[in-house]
Amino acid sequence: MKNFLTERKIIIGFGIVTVILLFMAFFTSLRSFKRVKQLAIEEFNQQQLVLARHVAFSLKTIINSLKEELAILNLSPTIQYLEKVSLANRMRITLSAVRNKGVLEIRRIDTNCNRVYVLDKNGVFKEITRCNNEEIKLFKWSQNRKNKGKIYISPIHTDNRSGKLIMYLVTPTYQDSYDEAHPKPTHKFVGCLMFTIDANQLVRMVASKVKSGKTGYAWVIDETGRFIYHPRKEYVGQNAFSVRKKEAHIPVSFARINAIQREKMLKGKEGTSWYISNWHLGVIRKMKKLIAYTPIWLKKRGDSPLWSVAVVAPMQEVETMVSDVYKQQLLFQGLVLLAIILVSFSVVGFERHYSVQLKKEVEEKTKDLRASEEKYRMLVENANDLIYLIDTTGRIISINKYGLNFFVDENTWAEPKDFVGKNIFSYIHSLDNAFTPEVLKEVLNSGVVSLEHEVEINQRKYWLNTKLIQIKRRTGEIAILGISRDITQHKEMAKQLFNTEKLASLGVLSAGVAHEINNPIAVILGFCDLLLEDGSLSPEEIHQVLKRIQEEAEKCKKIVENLLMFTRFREYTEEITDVNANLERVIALVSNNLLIKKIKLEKHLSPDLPKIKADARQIQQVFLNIINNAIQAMPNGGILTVTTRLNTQLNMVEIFIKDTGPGIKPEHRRKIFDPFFTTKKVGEGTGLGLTVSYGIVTNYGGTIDFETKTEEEDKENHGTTFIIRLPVYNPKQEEIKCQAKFLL
Amino acid sequence: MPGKILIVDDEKGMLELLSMTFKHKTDYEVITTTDPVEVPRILAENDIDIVISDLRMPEIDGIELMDYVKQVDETIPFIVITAYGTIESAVEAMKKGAFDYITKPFRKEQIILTVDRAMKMRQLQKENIKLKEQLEQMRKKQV
Repeated sequence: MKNFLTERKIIIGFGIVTVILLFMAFFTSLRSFKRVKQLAIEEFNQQQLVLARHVAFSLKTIINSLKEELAILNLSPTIQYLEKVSLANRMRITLSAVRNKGVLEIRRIDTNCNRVYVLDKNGVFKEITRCNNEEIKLFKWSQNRKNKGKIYISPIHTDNRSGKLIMYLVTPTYQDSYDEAHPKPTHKFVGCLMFTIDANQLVRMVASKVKSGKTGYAWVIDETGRFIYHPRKEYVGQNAFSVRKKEAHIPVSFARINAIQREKMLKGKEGTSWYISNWHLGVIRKMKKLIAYTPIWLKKRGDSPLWSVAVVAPMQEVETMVSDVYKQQLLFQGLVLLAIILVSFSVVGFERHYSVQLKKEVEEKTKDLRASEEKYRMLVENANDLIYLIDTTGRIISINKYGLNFFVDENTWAEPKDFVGKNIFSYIHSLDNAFTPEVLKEVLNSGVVSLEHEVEINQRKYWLNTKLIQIKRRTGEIAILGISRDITQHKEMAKQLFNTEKLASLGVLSAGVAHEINNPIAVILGFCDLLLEDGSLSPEEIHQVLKRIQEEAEKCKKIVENLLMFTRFREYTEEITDVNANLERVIALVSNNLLIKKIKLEKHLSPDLPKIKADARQIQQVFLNIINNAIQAMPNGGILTVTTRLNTQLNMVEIFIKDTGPGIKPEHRRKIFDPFFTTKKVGEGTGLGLTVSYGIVTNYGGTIDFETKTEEEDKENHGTTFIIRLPVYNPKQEEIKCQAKFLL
Repeated sequence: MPGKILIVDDEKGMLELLSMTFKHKTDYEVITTTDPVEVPRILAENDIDIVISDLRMPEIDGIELMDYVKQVDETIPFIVITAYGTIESAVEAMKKGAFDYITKPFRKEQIILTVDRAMKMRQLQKENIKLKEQLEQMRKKQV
């Protein structure tokens, strides 16, 4: 229960930690998103700044190239000396090079500012005899000798007629060059040369090509805050501070952009920022825009005129781009996290389920184990066997109650613990030297030893069937488990059974024996009759008759001896004996019976059969029982085949006794070794023959099997074969085997 | 009333006893053999009147031998000798046409009496056959 509560707490704790971690992950993710967005915006604006710088650089380059063109043209003697024949052509050459850079006209004002020679953008050359105010102003700047060699860039003004944004590049003209017509330069001031430039065209050439992000664009203002270029054409030439307000479809505050223009751009500063707008390439709504700006100093830093270029783009574009990526990433992370959580919970759930199941199973098994232990304890305690656990020297570790009954008198109260620590051999005294400390060594060598042995316990004699098994205790010590069964009664019964059956076998033998004895007796009696009758027999004949009588009497003696050999009660002794010789003896006993029953005998006895160790009488009894059964199975004759051979695989001697009788019926096959089971008529059989034979053979570690086929099963080859297997005598094994002996 | 007796038994002692008994107590001529296989030859070479045989012999038993003898000459009386306790087989032999049976051990009078009876019957049968032949010849002459 306690464990269960602890586990519950762990799971709740785990859940809380998971939720906290989830929130932290979400919060961190959100922060990182904002930071990434900020970084992306900054990065984007930096790129816009690069674009703005590029525009500024390009514009400055173009203006420098125009200045160079102007200076080159100004060096031309044609321009300096106003050689009217070639003046227009010379100007045309330069115009063709600078026309696409916004130059609208090339003007040459003469020495006194009385005449102006103009080449317009269409290549038309004209001579104007009056200078306008602007020209006069520029002429005056040129007259100043300090300005020799300099180029003046005028502020932009809107041309009243064309509405174009006009600016001038002016340089003073001196007669410093020479040619064939003017071999000697005068170095006199002779007026000035100027380009009239469409500032919007010039700037548009560069700024219109700028594209920041998806839709960002560039715009340029001059030092007065006038748009020189803006993609919205109506803004061009308008004041950047006022034009936005005028066009405001949606009222928004332009304070931020105005401040940027005023505080930064018009002061020649560079930087990035954002502002609120209501227009972007035709889209009208309130929006945040990112702006990057940089100044264009047309002369040198700090000197007017100053332009400022700005590159702008809606912030939403960047945000959308970042948030799209981020949304995808967040979704993926969320899914992974969800999967992890689901898997974690599944695992936890499964573990919990499994552990509950396991706990249940363990409880059940423990219960079963206890029940099983209790059952075995009861079994051992109530078993009618002497069960004991001893150490390797024979000291008792435990013993069951039944065992105590052997050690103490019926009226003495004893507890198993009273015997713990005492040596078992001080209670069980072996009468045949089979159960001694030596046998324990054998158990330790081979693991298990089985023996039948005679002992004396508490001044009483017993026959015990003992199995000693080597076991390993929980403590790791080696111990020996002994189970001894009292087989004293069984031994007595077996002895009686054997005798009963022997007598029964004798009965079966009697018919054959009677015939065998009858023959010589008939002969003896017949001759005696002749001898006694009269004295007609000659002395030779009398001699012949007496000799014959002697021979026939000898025959009788031999028959009786044979019988005696079988029937004589004598001590049971195991000896090394030859199976073939025992078979021959039994065959000799039954040979007459075979004759009477017209049974042909076929013998296939292996000549080099190894010996066995057994009591020859018992082995003969087994053969006789089985051969008698075979003879009785063939009342109308047949073939009795007796075969012996060595089975090298089993190391056993095999004896096959085969008849050609009707075979054993299937319903009888399982019962034939049962005591008192017989198919013979009342009085003919005891039903103990095979039981006794089975007992004898198994006692020697052998087996009896049979193969049988009834006439229905096989019309040609019916009959029964009994197969007796007996272990080959092995002197080495003999040492460890107990010596069993009992009286017949 | 002389006649020829063939005695068949695998026991030599029994053959000696019987031949000695017949020699001293009767005028019958006795031929003996321990081997039943010899019987066809003996029958062919001698004019045997009676066959005495043990019932149980290896190779050929008494009843088989009787069947053979009856095939050669149906009128030859066949006497079986049987052991005590196996009367059933002797009765069976009688059913199959044996003249009589004697159980071992037997007294000599018993066997002589049985053989005399058999011999008498054998003589009568022989005479009968002879008379029948004469009658046949007379009929043929008359025709």
